[in-house]
Amino acid sequence: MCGVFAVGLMLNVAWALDPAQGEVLLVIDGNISASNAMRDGQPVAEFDLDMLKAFGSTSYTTSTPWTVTSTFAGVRLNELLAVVGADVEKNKVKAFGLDDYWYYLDSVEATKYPVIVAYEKNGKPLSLRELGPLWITFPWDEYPELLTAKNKAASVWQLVRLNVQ
Amino acid sequence: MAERILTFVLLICASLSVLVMWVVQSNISTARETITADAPAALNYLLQSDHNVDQFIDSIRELQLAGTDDVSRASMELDVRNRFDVMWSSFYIFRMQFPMSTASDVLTDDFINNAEQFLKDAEPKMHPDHEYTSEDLSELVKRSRSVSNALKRLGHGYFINAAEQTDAVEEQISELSGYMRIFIALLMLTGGLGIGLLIRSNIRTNALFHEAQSARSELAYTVDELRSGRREQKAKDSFIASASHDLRQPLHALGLFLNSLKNEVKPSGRRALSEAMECADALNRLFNSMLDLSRLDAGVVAIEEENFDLGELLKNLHNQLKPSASGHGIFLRLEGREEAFAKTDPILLSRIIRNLVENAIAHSGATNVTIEFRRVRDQFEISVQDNGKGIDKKEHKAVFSEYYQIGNPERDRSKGLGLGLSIVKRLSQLLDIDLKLRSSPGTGTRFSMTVPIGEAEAVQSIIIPSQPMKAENRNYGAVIVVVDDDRSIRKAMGMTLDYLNYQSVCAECTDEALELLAERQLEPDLIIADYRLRDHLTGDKVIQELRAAIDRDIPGLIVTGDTSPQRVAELASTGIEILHKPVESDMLNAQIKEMLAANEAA
Repeated sequence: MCGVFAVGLMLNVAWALDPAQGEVLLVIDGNISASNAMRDGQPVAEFDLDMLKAFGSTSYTTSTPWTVTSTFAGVRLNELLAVVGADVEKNKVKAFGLDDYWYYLDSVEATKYPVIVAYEKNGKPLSLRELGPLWITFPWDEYPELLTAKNKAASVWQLVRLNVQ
Repeated sequence: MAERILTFVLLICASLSVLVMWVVQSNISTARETITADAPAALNYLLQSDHNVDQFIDSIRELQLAGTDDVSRASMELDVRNRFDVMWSSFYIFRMQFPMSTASDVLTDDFINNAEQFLKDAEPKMHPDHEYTSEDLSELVKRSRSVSNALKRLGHGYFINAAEQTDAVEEQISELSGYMRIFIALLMLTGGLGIGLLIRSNIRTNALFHEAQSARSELAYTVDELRSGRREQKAKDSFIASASHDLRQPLHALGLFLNSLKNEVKPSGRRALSEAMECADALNRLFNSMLDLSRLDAGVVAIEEENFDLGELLKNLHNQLKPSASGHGIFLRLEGREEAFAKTDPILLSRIIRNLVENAIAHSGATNVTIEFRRVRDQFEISVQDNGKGIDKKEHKAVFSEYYQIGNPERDRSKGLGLGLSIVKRLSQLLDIDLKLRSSPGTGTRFSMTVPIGEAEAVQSIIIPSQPMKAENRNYGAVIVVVDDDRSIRKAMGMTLDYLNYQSVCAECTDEALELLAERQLEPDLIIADYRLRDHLTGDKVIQELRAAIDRDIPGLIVTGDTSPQRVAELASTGIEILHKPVESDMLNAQIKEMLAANEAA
């Protein structure tokens, strides 16, 4: 009786997200409370562009240390992580790029500032050459105090995976 | 002066520390630039770029190995294109971020040119519709390797540069810490000097404050003295003291001469002699009054408070003063029957009352004078009342000042100098007695005072103010040494002592006295010396010298005309007996007898 209940609860939690329909742009794995797929026997949360857009977009115009002033649109990093029960300020979250670059996000104040996982630049999807398709961006121009070495390192481009620990 | 130098040094230290701080600040900026430009970040870019090139090569290798009809060939081709884009973006980032001083320009240019050329040449082959030949793929791998080598050369350039920059930063940091040490030293010096100056100025402020305070209180005291007339009083006192000293010398001699004449003159001359003696006596009294005043001013009058029978004291006074009153045609009465024990200094109190009564007898023009005492609550009120001409209200205050006499504008000296009431005033102040005066012209005068009630059981003895003792001219044959630098006084004293049947040895100084004693083979029984002698010698010193020479504790008596309060106080402290000039022969004899008796008893 107890065992049945426990399995039911586990399934309920693990499969809280709808599966991705289109091309998977981002995978969140590790210590997560919601998932929609299994990879290497572990529950993971996979997101396609439509799923990311479903969060509602946050946008701002800013320059970056690597690009001229442009308008970025994307999903708030803290909202995205909240779906899988994670928080950059409580969990240790490791962000991976397509080029195998990674950096911890624990110094990112994602609640205080609108840090986004951008998927559009100037109204068009970010290409690989434009450091897309997903790029963690900061409102650098509006909050000059964000221009720190750590934040620059945490601005992971060609983002493909978030690992929650 | 020292303070000015300190301030100067302080200012220099402060400006130097500001200068050093500025140097430190600019050094820090330079160091920061160097550190920022130096780049673990740049190194990571290089590694990342190299990794991206490697992954591009790996993706091509996979495609080379796959057969032309491989089902996953399309996704392999897509992977190649994606890896190319990633590589492309990393070269693009590099070109944006690091064309700066981190490596030599040659190496950077070499890499950027190599990479750009490669990207440009490879671009057509990255079109989705492009069909890859094995030559294409080999060419791509070859070119990628070439870019990768350029990257490695650049990395090595970074490494060389980093070593140089590390040393430069190190140098700058040690320079900085040197400056910081100087700055801290200067800052501490500045702070220390500042604190020192602060403490110094604080001390000076305090000193100035105290000075100002003492100056203020001094000023207040002087103003107070001027207002109350005490300053004038002092000047007057010292004038009187010095004047009376000069007057006393001849007066003293005069009295002694007159006394020695007593038994020598013919009966026809006796009247003139007795008048002359009376005059001398009056002068004596006058000087005694002045001496009393100076003694009171000197504060050497000790108050000896005791319980005593007030009725008895007043009865005695009444008896003593009655004959004098009768002589002036005045009836002196004493009123008050009850037993009265008071507590104050009886001797000083009797002097107050005596002065008041004598004043009434001499100056009031009354026919009746009444001494009265009665109990008022827990005190005794003593009053002296006359039915004389009275004192106008506006003169009430003035009667207590020295030399003031009502109705004596011509200053008839036979009526005295007018010191009586000022002595009364000072004595009553000394005893803390509130003296009241009630009088108006035509209604007589009433002085009254209150004294605290005493305890009958505590009465030790009845104080009877004594009249001067009459001398008994008995021959003691005692040897008396007189030391005085005034020849006429020496002579008069010698005659007086001879008349009183003593053996006198009169000398000018200690040595002469010793010579005379040796010559006449005498041992002195008593030494009488003037206080102020020639060559700053003093009487007490002469007495000590003689005692030392003869090696015996001979009783010493100083006769002085000096009435200045300071001198009186000085003499009171020497322990040698003192008589004030002018001394009547009776008084002198009594004192001599008393001292000889005391010495014999000892």
